[in-house]
Amino acid sequence: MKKNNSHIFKTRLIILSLIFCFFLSTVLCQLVYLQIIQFNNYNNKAQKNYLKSLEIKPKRGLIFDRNNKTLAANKEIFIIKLTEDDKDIREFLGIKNTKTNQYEVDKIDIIKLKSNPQFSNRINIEEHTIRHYPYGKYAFSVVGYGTMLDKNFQPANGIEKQYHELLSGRSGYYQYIQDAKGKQTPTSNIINDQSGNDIHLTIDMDLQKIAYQSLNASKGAVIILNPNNGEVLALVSKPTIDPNDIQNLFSSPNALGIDKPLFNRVISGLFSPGSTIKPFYALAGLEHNLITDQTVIEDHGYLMLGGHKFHDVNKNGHGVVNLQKAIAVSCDTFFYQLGLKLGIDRMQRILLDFKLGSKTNIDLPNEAYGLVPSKEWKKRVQHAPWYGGDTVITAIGQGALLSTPIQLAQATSILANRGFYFHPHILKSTTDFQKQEHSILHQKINIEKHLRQNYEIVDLSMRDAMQRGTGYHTFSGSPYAIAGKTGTTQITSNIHTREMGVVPKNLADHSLFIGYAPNKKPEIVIVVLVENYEMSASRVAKNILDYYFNKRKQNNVITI
Amino acid sequence: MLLQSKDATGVITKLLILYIAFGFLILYSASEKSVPTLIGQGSKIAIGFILMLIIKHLPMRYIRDFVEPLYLLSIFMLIIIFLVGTTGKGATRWLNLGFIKFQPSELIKLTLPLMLAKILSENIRKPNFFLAIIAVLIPMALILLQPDLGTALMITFISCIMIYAAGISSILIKIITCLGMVIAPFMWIFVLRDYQKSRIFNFINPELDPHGSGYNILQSKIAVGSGGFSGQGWLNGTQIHLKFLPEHSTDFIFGVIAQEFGLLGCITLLTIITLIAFKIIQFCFTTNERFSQLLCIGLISHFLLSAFINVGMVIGILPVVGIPLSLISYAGTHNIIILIGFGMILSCMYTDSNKLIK
Repeated sequence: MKKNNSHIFKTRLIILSLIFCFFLSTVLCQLVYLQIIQFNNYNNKAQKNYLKSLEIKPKRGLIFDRNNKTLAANKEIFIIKLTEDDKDIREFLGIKNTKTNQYEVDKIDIIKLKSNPQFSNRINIEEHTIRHYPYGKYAFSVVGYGTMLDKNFQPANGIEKQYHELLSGRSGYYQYIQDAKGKQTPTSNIINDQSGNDIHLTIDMDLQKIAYQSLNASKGAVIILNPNNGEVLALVSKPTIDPNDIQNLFSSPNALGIDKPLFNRVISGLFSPGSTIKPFYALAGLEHNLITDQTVIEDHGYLMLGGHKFHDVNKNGHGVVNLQKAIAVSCDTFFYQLGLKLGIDRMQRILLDFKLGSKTNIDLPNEAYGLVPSKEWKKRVQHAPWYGGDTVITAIGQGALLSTPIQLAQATSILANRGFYFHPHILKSTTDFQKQEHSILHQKINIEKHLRQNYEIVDLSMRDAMQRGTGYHTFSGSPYAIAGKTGTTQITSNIHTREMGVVPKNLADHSLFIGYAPNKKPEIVIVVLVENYEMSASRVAKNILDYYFNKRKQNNVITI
Repeated sequence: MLLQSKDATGVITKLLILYIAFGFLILYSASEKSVPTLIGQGSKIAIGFILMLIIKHLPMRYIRDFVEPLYLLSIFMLIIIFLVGTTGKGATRWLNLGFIKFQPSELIKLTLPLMLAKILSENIRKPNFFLAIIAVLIPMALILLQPDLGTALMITFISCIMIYAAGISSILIKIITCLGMVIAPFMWIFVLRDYQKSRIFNFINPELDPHGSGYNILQSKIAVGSGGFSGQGWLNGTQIHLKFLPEHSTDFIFGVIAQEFGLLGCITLLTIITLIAFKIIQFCFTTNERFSQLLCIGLISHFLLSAFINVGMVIGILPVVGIPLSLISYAGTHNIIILIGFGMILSCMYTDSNKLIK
C-alpha cells in the first residue's frame, strides 16, 4: 500500500513536471512570437514612443508681377488672446469689440504691454504667418487667395491654387526624443525645409489696375494679352473682393450672391460672342470662295427664311453692303446670308479652327469649355434636327454658341497673327529656393492654313470698323492703329420680355469688344465684356489702350 | 555523479548565485543606476542568503518541530495587520516592525507549505485532506480581506499542487473543481474589485485603451518585442530609460531583461530557473521522506509560479497581477522568503544525503 502511495506521488510529480514544461514552452513560444516574428512591429512601436518630429513649415513662395511688384507676400501678425477678466488690457488696447477673445495687435502694442508690469505676466501672444495681398481686389482675379488653417495654407482659387505645389515648398523635420514624462532631448536629425518657389507672372500690375478701374462699377471682364508670346498682361473679372479682408470675405452678402465675386468671368463665364464672331465667318466665306471683298448684297433690314423674318439691328437696313462694310457696321443680314451659304458644318469648322469650344488651358483653375454647336450636337443634346434658323442665328454669334472671354482673346490673337498663336499663360518664370530662375517657354502653334490675303481683308474690315464703323465714336483719332469688332449679346431667355418692351437691368444685353493693335504689327490683343450694357465695352477698351500706348511711348515700362 | 543529492545542493547554490548576479545586473539598469536601490536589494538578498545557508545546515526535524508555531505566528500576523498595518495602494499589506517593513502575506507562502507538508505527511496512507483544506482556507480568507488577490491565488495554487501530489483521490479533485466553478462567479461579483476586473479586460484587449489602463501591458509588450534576438544592450533599453515601461524595477522587470538582452537573455534566465527546478524535482523522486518531498514541491512551486505569472504578465499571456520576479525584482520580504524557502529545500536535500551516507 505504501509502495502504491509512493507510486501515485511519482506519477503526479511527472504530471506536474509536464505541466511545468507546458508553461515553459508557452512562454518560449510567446517570446519567439514577440521578439522574432513581431520584432519589426514592436521595434517601430518602441521608436514611435520616444522619437518625435517637429515639422518646420517652409516659407511660401512670393508672387510678383512682370515688373517685380509684389502681388502676394507673407506677413507676420501677432494675436493676443484675452479672457473675460482681461478688461483692463482691452481698455489699454482700446478694444471695444467684446465678441471674440482674439485680437490682432502690432509690435508696438506688444512692447507696451510687456513693459507694463501690470500686464506683462498675463499676456498670451501668438505669432502667425498669414498671406498678404498688397494689391487686394485689383489682382484678385489673377492671384486668387487662400487661407491659413492650422498653419497649413489652403489655396482657394487663382494662381495660388494653380501653382500651389510650386509655391508650397517642402517641409523640414526636426527629430527629438521625448520620454514618457514629456522631457525632451534634441537629436542631430534635422531635415532642412525648402522654401517654395517665388513666381513671376506675365501680368503688368499697372495695366491690370487701369483695366480694373476702366470697368468702373460695371460687372464684366477684361483680358489683355500679347499675341506674340501668349503672355497675359491683364485679366480682370468684376465684381471682386479684397482677399485681405478674410473676416468679411464670406460674411458679406455679396460674396456668394448673384454678383458672384468669386466667379472668374474671364475663364469661367460663358457668353454668346455676338457680332464679335463675324470676322471669323468672313474669313471662312473668303476661304471657301463664297464671297470676295467685292461681293455686295442689298440689305432691307431683314432676312426671310421659311416664313420667319430675321431682323437686322438696323430695322431699315444698311442698303448696299460689301464685306468691309458688313463688318464695319455689323450688318446682320449680310451674315445671315453668308451663314446660309456656308452651312453649319463649315461654320463649325472655322470656329473649331480658331480653338473656340475647347479650353485654352490658361494656367488658372476652373476654365469652362464653351460650346460650338453642330448638327450632331443638336441631335444628341436637344434630340432635334438642325434647321436653317439655327444656322442664321449662329451666324451672328447667338443661339447655342457659347465662349469665354479668354477663348475670344485667343481666337483674336490668331486673327492678329494671321494664323498662329501661343497658349495664353500667366506664369512667366519661377525662382527656386536656390535662387535659380527658370523661364517658362511656350511654343508657337500654327492653325490650319488660311490665305494671307484673306486675313488682310478681314484685318482691313476690322480696322475700318474702328475708323468709320461701330467703333468710330470711340476710336476715331486714336494715335494707334486698332482693328476691332464690337458685339452685343442678347441673353437668349429674354426674347419675350424684350418684345414686351420691358427689360430688367440684369437681363439687359452684354456689350463686347475684341481688338488688336497695331493692326499691321500687333503687340496687344484685348477682349472686353461689360454685362448688361452698363457701359460700352469699346469705351473700356479705349481707356485701357490709351493708357497702354501712352505709357509705352513715355517710358518703356512695359517690356514685351 | 552529478545526479547525487550531495552535489545537487552545491549545484543549486551555484545556480542561485548566478541567477542573483544576473538579477543585480538587471536591477542596476532597471533602477536607472540607482545605488540606494541596489544597496536596499543587496542587503535583503544578503540577509536571505545567509539565512538560507544557516537553514541548509539545520537538521530537517528541527524545522519540522517548529511548523505549527510558525504557521500560527503567520496567522497571528495576518490578523494584527488589520489593527496596526500600513496601507498601500488600497490594500493593507504591510507590518512596520520599526527596522523593516514586513509583509505577513509573504511569510504565509513559506509557513503554509510547511504546515501542509506536515499535515499531509503525518499519515502517508491516508492523509488528512480535510485538515489540510482548513489550514489553507484560514489564511486565504484573511488575505482576501486585505485584499490581496495575487497572494490568495498564489497560496491556492501552491496548496492545490501539494494536495494533488500528496495523492488526493480523483473523486475529491472533481468535487473541488466543481465547487470552484460554482464559487467563481460569486468571486467575480463580490470579491474582485473594479481595478482587478479592468486588469482582466485589459489583458484580453490591451489596444482598447492604449493610454489608459491598457497602457502597462502594451508598453511591456513593446519592451519585450523590441528586444529582438539579442536585445538593445545593457543600459540601452529605450522603454526603461525613457520611462515608458511602468514599474520597471518591480513587477515589470522582466521587460528590462527582454529589451536589453533579447531572446537570448530571456532564454538564459529561463534555463537557470529550469535547471534549479530540475534538480529539486529530481531530488523529490529519489528521496522517500514524504515531508521533504511535499515541502520541496510546495516551495519550488512558489518560486516557479512567481516566475511564470510574472513573465506571463509581462509578455501579455496573463493578466496583470502584482507578483514580483523572485530575486530579480526590487522586493524585500518576497526575496528573503524565497531564499529561506531555498534554505529549507537545501536542508531537506542535505539531511537526506547525510542519511544516505550513513
